[in-house]
This record gives sequence, structure tokens and C-alpha cells, in this order.
Amino acid sequence: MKVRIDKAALAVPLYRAQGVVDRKTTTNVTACVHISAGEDGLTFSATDYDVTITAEASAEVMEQGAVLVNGRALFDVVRALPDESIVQLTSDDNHRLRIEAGRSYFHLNGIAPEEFPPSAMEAGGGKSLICDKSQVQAMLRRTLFSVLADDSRPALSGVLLEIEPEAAGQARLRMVSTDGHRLSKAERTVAATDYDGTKYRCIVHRRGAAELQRILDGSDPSVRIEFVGRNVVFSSDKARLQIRQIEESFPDYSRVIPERGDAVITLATSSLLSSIRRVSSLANNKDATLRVEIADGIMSLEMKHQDVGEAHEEIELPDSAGVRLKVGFNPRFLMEVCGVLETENITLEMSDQFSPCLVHSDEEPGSVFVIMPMRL
Amino acid sequence: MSRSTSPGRWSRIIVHADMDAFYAAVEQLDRPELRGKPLLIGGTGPRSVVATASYEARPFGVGSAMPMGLALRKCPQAIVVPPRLARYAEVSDRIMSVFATFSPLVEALSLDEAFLDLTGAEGLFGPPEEMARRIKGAVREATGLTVSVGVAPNKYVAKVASDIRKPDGLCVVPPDGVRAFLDPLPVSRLWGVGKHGEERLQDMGLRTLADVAAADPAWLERRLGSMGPHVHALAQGIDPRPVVPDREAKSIGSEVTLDDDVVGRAAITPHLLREADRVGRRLRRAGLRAGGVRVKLKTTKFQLLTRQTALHPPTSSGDVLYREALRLLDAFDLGVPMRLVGLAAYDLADAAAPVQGELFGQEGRERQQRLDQAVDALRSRFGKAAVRRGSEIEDEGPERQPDRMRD
Repeated sequence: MKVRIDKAALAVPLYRAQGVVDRKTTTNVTACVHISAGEDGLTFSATDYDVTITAEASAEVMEQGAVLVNGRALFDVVRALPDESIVQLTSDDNHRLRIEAGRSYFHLNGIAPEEFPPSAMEAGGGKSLICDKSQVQAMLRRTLFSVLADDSRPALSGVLLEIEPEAAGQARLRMVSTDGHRLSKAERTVAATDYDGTKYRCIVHRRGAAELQRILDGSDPSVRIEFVGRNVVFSSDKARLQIRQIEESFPDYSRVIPERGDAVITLATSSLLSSIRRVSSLANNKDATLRVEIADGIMSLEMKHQDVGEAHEEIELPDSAGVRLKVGFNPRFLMEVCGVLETENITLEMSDQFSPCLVHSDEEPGSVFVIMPMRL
Repeated sequence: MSRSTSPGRWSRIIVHADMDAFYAAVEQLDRPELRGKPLLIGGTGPRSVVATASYEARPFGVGSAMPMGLALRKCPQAIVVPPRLARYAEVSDRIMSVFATFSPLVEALSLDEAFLDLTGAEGLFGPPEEMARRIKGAVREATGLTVSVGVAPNKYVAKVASDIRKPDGLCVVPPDGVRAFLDPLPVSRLWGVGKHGEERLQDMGLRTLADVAAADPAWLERRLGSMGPHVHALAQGIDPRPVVPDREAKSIGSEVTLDDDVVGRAAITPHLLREADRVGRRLRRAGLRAGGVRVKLKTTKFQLLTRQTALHPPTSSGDVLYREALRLLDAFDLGVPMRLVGLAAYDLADAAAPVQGELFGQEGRERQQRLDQAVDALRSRFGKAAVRRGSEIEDEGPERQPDRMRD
């Protein structure tokens, strides 16, 4: 293999591969990036067997071929090169990659490119649809934060993605996530092309979903969602992300979303967020409880910290006459919802400390959040 | 500040207090007709073992963990008494409260033994020997039972010291007397070595702690792996581990170095059950809940394997710890023989703190919680022995644990 490419054009696909390459080992296939030079330019691939990313870049190909080298090392080298450099990549018979730019050159030891698992790059041709990327991005933003952060319950380790037909040329997209303590649901009707109306449902592991956010940063306004075997594949901006679905059954989320709460209060999202932030500024452990009390048109927020002290703040709620309520929350759960819901106002519907609290906004009908209180 | 220099300077004053034949002593206390007679506490089932033998039975060669059938052949006149764990736990609570009057730093190892850090308390309780006498007196007054006490500059030496003059023993090992005290002792006195480790040391020609202390540390490490530096330090009387009260611990764990190696799931699970029960009890006593559980296995080649998982919601229940530990077992290669089985609870939080509610599968947990509350209510009205788990009645494990872990 022998190619010439701009530093900037080379850095983008390498950057995208960083989330997938294993940083702990140096010689495993999972730590490597596979580069193949064909007639149309370069294709970069990296895999951890569950998530595989493929990105393309145009380059001047003088000699076709492939290499498999440590992905982080290559990215570090390329990043350190002067901007505007023209980089020449050459492979030799010992799987080594020579990187030349200006007066510097580097050699990276590699392994046989055939070691890269072929199953990681499954052929396309599955059922698919193409839709507006910004919608997918917005829904991810509203759900990814509440995915279970460990793998103790595999079904909760990813975002549930559901696709259903709507009117002609449209699809209903739904994303749901939960960590067992709170739940986020975002759904939108989007313009869909190339969609045959089939219903899809799968769980996308949080690591794959985080990579998806990364590839959606590019300039391409659309994303193709494709179901290939056990994988779901997202393609956008010359990058292709293949994620093995979590084969578990997602819990019945509709059962835990309450219709309404006994007490309904609406207030400015930013003021709720900054009040909670102030009150929790003393918090020094993750288990601290935000105590919320509503009485006589006032919502008071309070947090006590055994060793430090306590914080108290009141928010006036002119429309809450007659509401009396005492309930505790993990303050982070409320702050994170305020953070992702980009609306002026936010509505909380609460009943008591044992019942789920519903959070939504009239300005954004498709998004619903449920937070279980803490039992005081 | 001037201090007597004759017994050497005490950098720390660590007390190990160990009740004498605890289960048997409680039975003899509650039932005067059993006093002075050989007792074996334990079940009578085919797989039962002796949990505790009274001192009257010990001259016959009977000891803890011995199969009940064998013990009865050695001492046919012994009276077998089924264990009453709830009663022992009640007495244990009294003993631990006595310890707490001497120091806030009390680390309970099990129902009947604890470490106390009394560093700097000479002004209150007098010199180490006087401290030990006061502790023994206070325990006797509160419970009518005798305790053996060892005082030394660190945990290991204190533990050996409490055992050396049992029963009703009192042994103070001052800093400058540590080596003279340890040197003649056999290698079986090393802590956390187990029967196999002991045999290996014997095979290496090491008989006494003096032999181990004098051995080349590099050679010990080559022959024993990570255990090498550990035994070398102990044999020299070096043990920097602090006394950590459960309340302040980052994790609470319990583990045993097994007398016989075990292979396979079925052989490991009974040990896990016992450790889970123990850890659960210690969590509840400390008023804590754990947000995670870790299983620790050590192969006979001294390879340490651990697997852990988060607990949703946090728990102090031995049952839940055990159930999650069983799931973790699937992630180990259980085909190799193991010499140590341990379980630890981590991510500890105050049990009185508000609990995060669960969205899914709440019904089952609420039922369990109602059950726990009902049992607690019964116990507070009718005493702790009013309600017991079936598993607490038959086949108690041996009263002691050889060693335990703490991080």
C-alpha cells in the first residue's frame, strides 16, 4: 500500500475510530485500526466485536493494499504533524506502516491485515430508511444520559430504538432509556426516504449510541438506519457504524409512565436548574437527597449534608394554590432532565414519595421523563 | 511528654479480644446444669460439624469444624446442644457495646472476637496490662463470660497473643518483646496461610517463625509468590493494618482460607452462603447498606480472581448478597481448585438514608421489605430468638473464621 493524503482528511476518520479502539492493549486486533487503500480512496475500520466503525477518506492511491496498526499510536502521530502537511503512508512486507510528512517519518509495527475479523464488516443491503440526522441527534441527547451505566442488567445497558410507519414518506422514531430509577422517552415523526414501512425495535448498547453521537457531528444532514442480521447500522458523513444489538427484552416502559400526577407544577426550566444546582453545591456524595416541599404557593428545595451543613432555597409557584407535597429526589436526575430538555418551561407532576414523578414540557410533546423519588 | 521506656515505646496499642468457647460458654451460662460438662455445639445431621466444643470436651481431642460423628466417637459422654445463633448474636451485641466503651475504633471480626485500637488511651485506662484487665472485667460483669485478651503493637501479634494463654488469658507483648515472643512459635501460627501453606513452609525447611524471619525474602517470594513478603513481614512481627470500624470501612468482607481445596460450583456455594450471611449481619450491625458485592477466589496457585457487580437497590440482606454472588460465580473458571473463598460488600451507605425508588419489579422487593419489617417487629416485641431462619437452626458453620479481608 502506498497513498498520499492531507493531514486533516486523515485525522477525521482516525479520530472517529478512537472511541472504538481498545486503549488498554497494544497488539490486539481490537486496539488496531484497519486501513485499506482501494480505487476510491481509503477505508478505515476499527472494532471491539460489538461496535464496528468504518470511515472513508479520499486519497491519492499509488498502490492498493491494507495495513492493521495500533489505532491510538497512529492518531497520536498524525495529530502531532504540522497542519497542512501532506502525509504519505507506505506499508512493507512485515506489516509495518511508514508515515512520512515533510522531514519527519515514523514506523509503526502492525499485524497481518487479514487478522481483522471479516464478520465485523457485514455487507449492507438490509432493511433501511434515511432520515434527518438532527432529529436522531436530538432524541439521542434526550435518552442517552439515563442509560444504566454498568452491565448489571443488560437490557438496560442501551437505548431502545423503535421505528414505526406513519403517513406516506414518514416514520415515527422512538428512543427510550432507563437505569431502573428513571426513564426517558423521546419520539418524533420524521420524513423518511427509502422506508418500506416495516416496524423495527432494537436495543443499542450505550457505547454504540455514544459513538453514534460522534459520527453525527459531521456535515451530512441525513443518516441511514439499516438492520443487517443481528446488527443495526448507522451511516452518515462517509462513516458507517455497525452495532450489535443487545438481545434482551426491554422492560415494558409504558407501564411505568404515569398518566398524570396529583400535583402539577410548571416553572421556568432555567430557574429550576440553577436553584437545584445552588442547593446541591454542598453535596459531597452521590447519595445526597434533594428534599422538595410544596406548600402555600412556595416550593422549597433543601439538602442536608451530615458533615458540612445545609442549603435551602425557595421558588414561588403562583399557580400551585392548594398543593401540599413532600418528596425527595436524586438532584442529578432532575438537573439532567432540565439540561437535555431545551424548553422555556418544565412541568413536574408528582403524587407522593412512592410514586413516579412525570416530567415534560408543553413545548415539546414528544419528550417524557419519569423519575422515581427517594423514600424519605 | 515522658513515657516509660523500659518495655519499649508503644507506637500503637492494639487489643485482640476473643471470647472463650463462646457458643458453649453461653449455653453453660443459660443452663447451669451444663456447667462443668463436655459440650458440643452443633447439629446432629449426617454432615454436621462441631461449631464449638466446651473446654471440658477439648482434652478428648475435639475441636471446631470436626465432623460431629467423629467428635462423639472421641468423646462419647459429650452432650450435643443445637446452636441458638440469635441468642449468641444478642450476647455478642452486649460484648461489642462493652468494647465500644473502651474505644471508638472497634473492628468486630465475628460474633465473638474483635480488635480494639487503644493507642493513646493510657491516661484513661492505665498501661496495656491494666487495659486488658479492665476489658476482661467489664465483659465478665456485663455477660458473666470470660474473654482472652492479647495486647501488642499490631493486629497480628495481638491475635496470636490472645490465643496463647486461652482460656481466660491475658498476654501483653511489648514492642521490644515481639521478636522473642514470635520466634519460637511454629509456622502454623502465621495468619492467612492455611494448612497447605503451612505444609509448603515445612517442605521448605521452615519450622518456626524465627526460621521464616531469617529466610531470604527474595527466596520466599520465588517459592511462595505474593504470600512470601506477607509471611516474612508477619514472622518479623510487622503488620501495619489499621483497626477499621465497619461503620467507616469502604467495604466489608469476609473470607476463609480453606483447610481443603475445593473444586467446582457446588463445593464453593456453601462457603459463599456463610460469608454472605456474615457480611449481611455486619452490614446491619453497622447500620449500612451495600451498593455492590464482590466475590474473591484464590486458586491453589495463589492466583487471585475477583468479580463484582452493582446492587440495585443497595442491600444489607445476606440473601441478596448470596444470590448476586451466585450469579457472579458464572463469570469464573471454576474448573481449577480454589484455596480461598471470600465475599465483600462495597459502595457502603447509611441504611437510614433515603432510598432511591425503583421503577420496575417493585412488588417483589416490597414484599421482602414487609417481611423484614414484620420479623423485626416480632423480634423487638418478643426478643431476637422469636423468629429465625431455617438455615440458622441446623448445621452452623464453625464458630470462627480463620481470617478475613478488608480494604
